[in-house]
Amino acid sequence: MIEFHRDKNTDSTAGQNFPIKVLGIGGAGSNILDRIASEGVENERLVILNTDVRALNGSKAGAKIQLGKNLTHGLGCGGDPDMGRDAALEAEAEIRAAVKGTRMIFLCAGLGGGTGSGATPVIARIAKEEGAFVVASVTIPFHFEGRRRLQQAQAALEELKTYTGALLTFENDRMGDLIVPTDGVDKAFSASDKTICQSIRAITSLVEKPGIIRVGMADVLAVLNGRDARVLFGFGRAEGSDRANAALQEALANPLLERGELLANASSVLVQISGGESVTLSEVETVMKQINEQLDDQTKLLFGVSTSQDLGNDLCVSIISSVEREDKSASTEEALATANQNAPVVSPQIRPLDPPSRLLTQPDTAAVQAPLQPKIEPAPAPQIQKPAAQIQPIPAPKVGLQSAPPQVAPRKVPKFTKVHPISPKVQTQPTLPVQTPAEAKTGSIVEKAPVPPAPAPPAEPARQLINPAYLQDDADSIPAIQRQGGEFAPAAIPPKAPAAINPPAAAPAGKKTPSIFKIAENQGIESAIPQQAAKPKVRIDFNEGDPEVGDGRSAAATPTITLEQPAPSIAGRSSSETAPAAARNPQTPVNLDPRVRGRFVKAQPTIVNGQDLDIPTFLRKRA
Amino acid sequence: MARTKIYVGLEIGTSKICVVVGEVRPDGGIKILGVGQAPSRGVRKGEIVDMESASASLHEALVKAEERSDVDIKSVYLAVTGAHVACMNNRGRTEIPGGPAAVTEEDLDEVKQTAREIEIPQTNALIHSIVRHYYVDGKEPVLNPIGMQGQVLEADYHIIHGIRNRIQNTIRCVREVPLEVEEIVFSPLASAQVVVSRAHKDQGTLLIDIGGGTTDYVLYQDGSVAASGCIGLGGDHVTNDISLVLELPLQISERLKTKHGSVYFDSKTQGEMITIEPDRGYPGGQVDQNTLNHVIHARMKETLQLVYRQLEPTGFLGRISSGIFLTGGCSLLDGIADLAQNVFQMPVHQADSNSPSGMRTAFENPQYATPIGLIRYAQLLDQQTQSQAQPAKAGGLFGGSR
Repeated sequence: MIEFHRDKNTDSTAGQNFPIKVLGIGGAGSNILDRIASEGVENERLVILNTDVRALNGSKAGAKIQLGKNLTHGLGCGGDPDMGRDAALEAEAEIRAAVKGTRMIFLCAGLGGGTGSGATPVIARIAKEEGAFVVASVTIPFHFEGRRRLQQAQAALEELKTYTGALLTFENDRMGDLIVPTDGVDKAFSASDKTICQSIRAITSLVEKPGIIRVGMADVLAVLNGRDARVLFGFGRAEGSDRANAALQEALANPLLERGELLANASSVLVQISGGESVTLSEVETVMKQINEQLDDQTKLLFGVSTSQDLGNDLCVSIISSVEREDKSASTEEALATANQNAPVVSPQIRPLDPPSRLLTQPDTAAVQAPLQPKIEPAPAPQIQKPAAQIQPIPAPKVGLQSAPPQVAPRKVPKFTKVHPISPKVQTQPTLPVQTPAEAKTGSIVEKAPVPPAPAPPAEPARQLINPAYLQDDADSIPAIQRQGGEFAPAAIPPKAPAAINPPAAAPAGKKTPSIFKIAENQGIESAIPQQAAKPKVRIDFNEGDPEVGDGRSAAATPTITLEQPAPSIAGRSSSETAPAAARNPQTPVNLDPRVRGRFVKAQPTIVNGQDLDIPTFLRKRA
Repeated sequence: MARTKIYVGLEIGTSKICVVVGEVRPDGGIKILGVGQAPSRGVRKGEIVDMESASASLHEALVKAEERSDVDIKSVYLAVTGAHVACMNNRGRTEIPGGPAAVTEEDLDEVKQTAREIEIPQTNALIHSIVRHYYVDGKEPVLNPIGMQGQVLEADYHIIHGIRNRIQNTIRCVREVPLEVEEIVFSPLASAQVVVSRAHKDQGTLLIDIGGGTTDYVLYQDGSVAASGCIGLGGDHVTNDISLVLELPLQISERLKTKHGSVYFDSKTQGEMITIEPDRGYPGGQVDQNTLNHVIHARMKETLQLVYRQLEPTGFLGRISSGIFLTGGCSLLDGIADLAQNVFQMPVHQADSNSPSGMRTAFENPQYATPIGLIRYAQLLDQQTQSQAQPAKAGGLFGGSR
């Protein structure tokens, strides 16, 4: 980890001139804050906001604000963003007091959970109303955390865009992909914490530390105030003879920058080079030359150089840049697409996360529908109605955080989403014969909707590839991480899932099964259904699409299992009940199983190339 | 009457603590008088993590060794290892005083001092500094430059160092017994004394000692150490992997590993099941042979690849014509030689420590390579100091007459 050196002399005054505060919201926020605190930022600048009293108590932050004292009674939000929002509103006065008079506010939060997704937009709004420039650094959950969290994160992100001056989103999937290809999940999480921490430090030091070629607040704001609130960020630090190159490469390797490729479309780029007193002109030149090569002629390039004795022989390069809108959607899309690389049929279905208009113009969406069609059409008409209605709710949380779309979702929205975390369980059972669940539920439907034989074979090769892959020594690809996620997640989830399923038994199952087909059918009759309806159906497929299950058929079939579970929850809870239910039944965190190191749990870890070698090779290398 | 000298080698390993008492006869042969060993506790990855348990095990091993050899053990040669041990090569240089002159013993000392003046991390301490070659006036390497005429004397040293505190922990554990520690020896250097012959060292060879907690290696080239190191992975990890992946108790995993484990896995073993007998706390069950082998293969391959990757940049790998010697408990694993051959792309020998006489059959097992090697090492060390002491004395005499 890079140490955060602060120059006491310049700092104390600069800090007064330009007060900056860092607000950590929710569990992830407090983790990031603790990391920042441990690197020497004054505690007074750090404010932790959480619904969970235990997390508050453990935090190192100087100021602590408990959200939703009366609403949650010091417990968490149970993953319900609505609750998080209400909790934040309850503490509005306190938040307002905390941000008053601050010119720049950093918000760090992990989106996807209750407090993070719900409270962050509210806090951003309050901060903005108090006249602060709001920079939000947020993480987007891993895929394996379930579709619901992803949707909640997306919804919160949309909302945040309107209140923040700059929005740095850190897709955890990407962190896992690029920073620690084969590490444990805890590593991947801490990698994103680390990156967020770096970004905050880089921006604060840009603003606060005087440099030879000074980058002022105005410059930073100019870059951050892009057309889109999304920001690219990269940070690298290196020493040694080739440090300029090494630091730049490290900065460009940041997952957010996509090896600098995304810079090509950036509207403006700010580069800050800082180092010990030994920074040479040629080093600055090397860095700038290489960055220039990545940039378009139109791009506005700002740069600053500062030296500090604290940095010793190190050289740091920070790259901050705003993104054009297209890039942003592209990057989200890419991130999602990578997760499904070996599911060619499924991958186009990821698109729905884009604005609906975009989806409809996608030529390949049509292609996706094609394989699904055969299954869809035979589906019995009467049953169609119901499942279709159930599925539509899925997009709701996205829109829903702002205002639930009643016309799209006849059924109750929140419940449905709540169930999704169960999906990882499904993912880990790729071997499950596809037909079995379907047949068990409604034989008639299966008969009527013969599964196209063509897609089936691809699944097999895909599975076979997996064993050899593990033998190869090359860096594992994303599936590896997803795999791990899949492994951990089910451990945490089952206790909850069966409880929910049992009471209403399998009764609703019959209705559920067709729902998948129905969804697909909807797509066929797209004109008849509101645009958003098209989104959810596809999405179901995508999330359930296990990397190992490559064909459309199994991808479509897998969710049928998932859908079985929503039924009881819908039946069991009314919308008014939702929030308390969530509180009673707090979402299970991803279980970072310490057992995996076995007898070496307490021993000093053997880390080579970022891999914890105490974890069985067999588990690490399995893709 | 010829004097015999008795040495005691002690290895505090991850799986066992082993005390070997050996007698060196005047003709240079070694006779093992007794061996005491005890299963090791409180040792992880070659380092002591629990002083008390380790100390108890050490006592047990010591008592056994004393009983069997009928020797009152006072001092030992201690093998040390651990992933913190690192090596580097350094060249020292000194001017021979008085212009072109014959190289003397003092010059050697001088050059040794300069070679040792290298930057190792502050927390580290030297374990060994082994001379590789001398160069007189930059000409081709020589092993003994004394008497050669020249102006500049240079020496290549191989320096092995490790974190001081961790080494001292081990030493302290031994001293508390109480035993005197004569010398500490990096484990693979000791093993090499019995596993690898002089000729092999000259031709160049790599010794890999895959033990319980660590995998140590030492690479010889032109008769001297060129590279060495330690990776904190070993048989313990294999057992742990089996236990985690197959969800079995550790003891059963260990038994599975030693009895049924292999690094081969292919269609031949497909579908074979191993039946595990019920045991206390374990109801019995079946394990897929292929999965077991898979787990072992993955771990061993990775371990060997790590060794390969550490050695590759040094460039020495291309110059070892005697191939690789495997020793240590894990070298008993079925197919490990083939795997190593695969990873290193050079011939691999499975070695054992069979050169000394006495109690031979019992200790041909490669598990004992290090403690027996310690005896040989001690003997060589003694010879060296004696031979150094004599010329030094002679030098004194001549010096007196000059």
